[in-house]
Amino acid sequence: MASRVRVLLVEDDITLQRFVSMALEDDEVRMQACISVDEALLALATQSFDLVISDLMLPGRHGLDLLQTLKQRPALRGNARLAVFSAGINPAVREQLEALGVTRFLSKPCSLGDLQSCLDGLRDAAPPAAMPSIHQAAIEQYFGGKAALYQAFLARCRMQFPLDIANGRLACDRGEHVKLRHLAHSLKSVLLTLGHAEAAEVARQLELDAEQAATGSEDALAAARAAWPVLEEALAKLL
Amino acid sequence: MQEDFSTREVAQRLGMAVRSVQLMVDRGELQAWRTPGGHRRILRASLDAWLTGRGLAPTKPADLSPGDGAPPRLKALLIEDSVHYQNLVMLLAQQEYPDLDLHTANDGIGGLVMYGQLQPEILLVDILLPGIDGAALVTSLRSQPQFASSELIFVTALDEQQRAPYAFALAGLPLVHKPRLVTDLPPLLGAAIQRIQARQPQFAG
Repeated sequence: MASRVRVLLVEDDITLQRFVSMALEDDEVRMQACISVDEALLALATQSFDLVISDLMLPGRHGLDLLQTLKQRPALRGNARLAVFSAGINPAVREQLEALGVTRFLSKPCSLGDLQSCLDGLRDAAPPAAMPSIHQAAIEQYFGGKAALYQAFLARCRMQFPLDIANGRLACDRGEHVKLRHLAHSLKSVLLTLGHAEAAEVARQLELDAEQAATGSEDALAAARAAWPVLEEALAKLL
Repeated sequence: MQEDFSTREVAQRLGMAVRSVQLMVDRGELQAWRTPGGHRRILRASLDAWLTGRGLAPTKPADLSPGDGAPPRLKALLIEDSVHYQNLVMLLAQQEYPDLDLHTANDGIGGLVMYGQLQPEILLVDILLPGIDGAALVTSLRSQPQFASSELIFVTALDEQQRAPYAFALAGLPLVHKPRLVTDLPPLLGAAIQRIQARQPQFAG
């Protein structure tokens, strides 16, 4: 199953998306297209790819943002080869891209041959080394292998996390330990099932502290208040 | 109720071009995710937020009134304060038991009221709830005659030690530990549905 070559294309021009998919897709190559950096990051967070081809001029965040994020978070990139598909790749830009790990440069307009050469060596390569991302591990462990369900749940979590953050801050400010306990309690298992065991542990400790605070312990309330920003930061990273 | 839409469906509803909807997703005005097959799905909640933010009416539940002769739909009530788990149970039910008519209450008091109004055949109850907890809620529901024929499943993130104080109410009842929800809830739900169908043949398809 994993022997197919998985390609992620980040390109906002639908015509070019079609061109690339016609050039690359066949029985062995499966391409997924998206039109923005944020979408690409969501795709990379939940699936692994062998090749990422990205435009630079994208609506919203610039393609460089994507490449910089992949440099900072190698787990997201996995073993993917990085290619840039853009007009006007001058030597200075090329150098910058090389520093970010890009090894293939496609100047628009480019030929079919150039595009297809991005796949060189990938078709015959052994299946990617068994280093599943935390997301794939979570999909296997908590979602019975159902990647679509995981993604649908993650998308909803990302809508709810900003509200959780707002509620948590308010509960902290007001010293409402019961609300804080319930919030931490819920986030504990949410974060665990999404594959973020460390953040889940922060939530678990916060839940315990908030529960202790109910007995009137000032220390426990102070500990809960100190733990909240750590949990908040973990949530913000997932947005 | 349909929860996610394709780009095309949203475009049709809004009377816009597909491309415009794609751009709305891109600008973060609508929230979307992609299936492993690469299809974009737009969250109904984000579309509703966009519509109401412009003074427009939110989407209506799909008109899925059961045709003549179709068996009545089983009703389930989920009493759960975590929006995340409301979402997950809803997604799961939609996937595994699309005919189930799932309702949600956010806390114990609301749950009691909704239980009386809906008379659901299936009850999914979180234990740690604001107001009255799930165990107290169930104890109080036992006085309602309808409760005897309800199928009850507890859903909780409490570990075994944390559940100890509620042992009196949980004894012998099916319970799902939240981290195992996706794998453990569907079979328990399936067994509950079968028991109901055996008791009340009108629900059998």
